[in-house]
Amino acid sequence: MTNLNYFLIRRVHSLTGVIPLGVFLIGHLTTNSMAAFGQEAFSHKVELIHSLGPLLPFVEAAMIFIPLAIHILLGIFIAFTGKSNATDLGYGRNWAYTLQRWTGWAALAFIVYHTMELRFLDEPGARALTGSVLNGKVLTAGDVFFMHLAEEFQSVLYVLVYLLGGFAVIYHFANGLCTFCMTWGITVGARSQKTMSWIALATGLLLFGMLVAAIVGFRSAYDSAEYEAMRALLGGLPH
Amino acid sequence: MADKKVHLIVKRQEGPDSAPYWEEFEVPHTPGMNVISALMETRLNPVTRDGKRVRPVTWDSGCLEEVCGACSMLINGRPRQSCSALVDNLEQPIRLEPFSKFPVLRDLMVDRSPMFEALKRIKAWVPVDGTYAMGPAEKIDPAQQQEMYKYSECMTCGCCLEACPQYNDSSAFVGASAIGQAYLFNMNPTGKTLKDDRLDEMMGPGGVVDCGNAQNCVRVCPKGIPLTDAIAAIGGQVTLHAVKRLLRQ
Ligand code: HEM
Ligand code: SF4
Ligand code: SF4
Ligand code: FES
Repeated sequence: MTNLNYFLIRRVHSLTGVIPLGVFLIGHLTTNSMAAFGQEAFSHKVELIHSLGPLLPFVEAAMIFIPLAIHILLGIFIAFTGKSNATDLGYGRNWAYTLQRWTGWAALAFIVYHTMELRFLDEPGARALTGSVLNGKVLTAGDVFFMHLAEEFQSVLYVLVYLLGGFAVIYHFANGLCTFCMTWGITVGARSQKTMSWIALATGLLLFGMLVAAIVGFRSAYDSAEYEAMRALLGGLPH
Repeated sequence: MADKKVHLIVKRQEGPDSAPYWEEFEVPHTPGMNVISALMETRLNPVTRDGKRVRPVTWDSGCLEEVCGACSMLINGRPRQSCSALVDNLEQPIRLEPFSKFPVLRDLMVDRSPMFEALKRIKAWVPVDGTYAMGPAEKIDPAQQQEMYKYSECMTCGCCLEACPQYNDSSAFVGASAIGQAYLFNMNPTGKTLKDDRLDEMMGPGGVVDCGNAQNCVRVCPKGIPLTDAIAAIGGQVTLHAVKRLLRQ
């Protein structure tokens, strides 16, 4: 492989982490945090996404699946070229380096589980239920998802999986912002790198706050009678 | 205090291919002694703590004033120079090990020639040799001189590589010192003529792109060289260089 090709591959890995994956992550958490404002607000956002119609799979592929696959494959290759030594040299950034790898693996496990469950198993079901009438109300895919997630988040285990998985992804992205700026030669001095780590911390906390808001929103909106009615009426979601 | 003792635990190894083992020594304490003078005591009286007479310990050293880098080893797990490691500042027992990222020649002495190879690879020199006189060199701005001076202090000791999680058997990474030197020689008005060659190397496998930004290198460098500044700066130079290569190929 030529040096230039190697360089481009490494930079593609670095870039995909921020654009589009990081941008998607911010958008995704923004949508979901709408759950804190209730079913209407959440469904409205979901409708907005679904209004892309037949374009949606292409947008998903370009914004998520293809860059994610590239980032993961290269990330795994890169992770195997490192030998973490944070227990011997416990400097802050050395732990950050080690955690970047661990959270990469955790994010991989979580993302596979999360997309399999919600995008590939539940989504077709939710779409099938779209347009059905429950208690005199025409359901949108967002409504069905909202009720479904409200039910799922009743489980403490489910909440924990999302908190831990979400933490891994958010840490990985936030620390990735710092290393991204070093990798590309944006923050060159120690001072600017320190400032960047505060900005990344604030970003990470904000994103984690959105995650918590979403979980609390879903959990507290659970209406067992309504959910049972949906399940009885329409057979619920395939599980 | 005549009977004060220094307790050393030394990782030993007969030759490059033999198995390592540990031996403990107890040597008399002298005021102001450093790890090398403690080791010299074991040479004077190569008897272990449990009274066994053994082969004297081998180590490497040169300047004895922290400018040559030859005496570098792991002291209580930290990569540093044994000549400037004062015994009184160390926790006892003092654990001495050879660097783990370089081939061991014997006991505490390692082969640091991979660092020399890395310097050759990035052409860490100023090309002034020719068949005719090249005239006087270009003047360098004092501020630039200050910036260059920091990097010129590198003594190729290897501490930054020993500490680096990306410098290991499964990676071709040249490590922080070579990146610092590429940065230094790219700043030199004459050295700059080889800038493209250096950046070509920095783009490829083992170049700056293999750094994982753990920043251990800058923490352990005994000369306080701002290696991570050089890494980020070279990262930026390489980006522009790649654009140039892409557009001109
Ligand atoms: C939501 C998903 C993900 C996002 C948003 C993301 C984002 C990022 C960002 C922004 C960086 C910093 C790039 C740089 O330092 O230049 C990064 C680095 C990294 N990512 Fe990811 N990532 C994700 C998933 C993964 C997964 C699943 C893995 C696989 C194990 C992974 C492995 C890595 C590794 C090893 C690095 C360090 C690269 C280096 O040091 O050069 N990432 N990621
Ligand atoms: S920043 Fe970390 S990975 Fe990069 S050279 Fe320094 S120690 Fe190695
Ligand atoms: S950069 Fe510092 S730690 Fe690395 S070889 Fe040079 S002097 Fe030693
Ligand atoms: S002997 Fe030269 S640095 Fe220690």
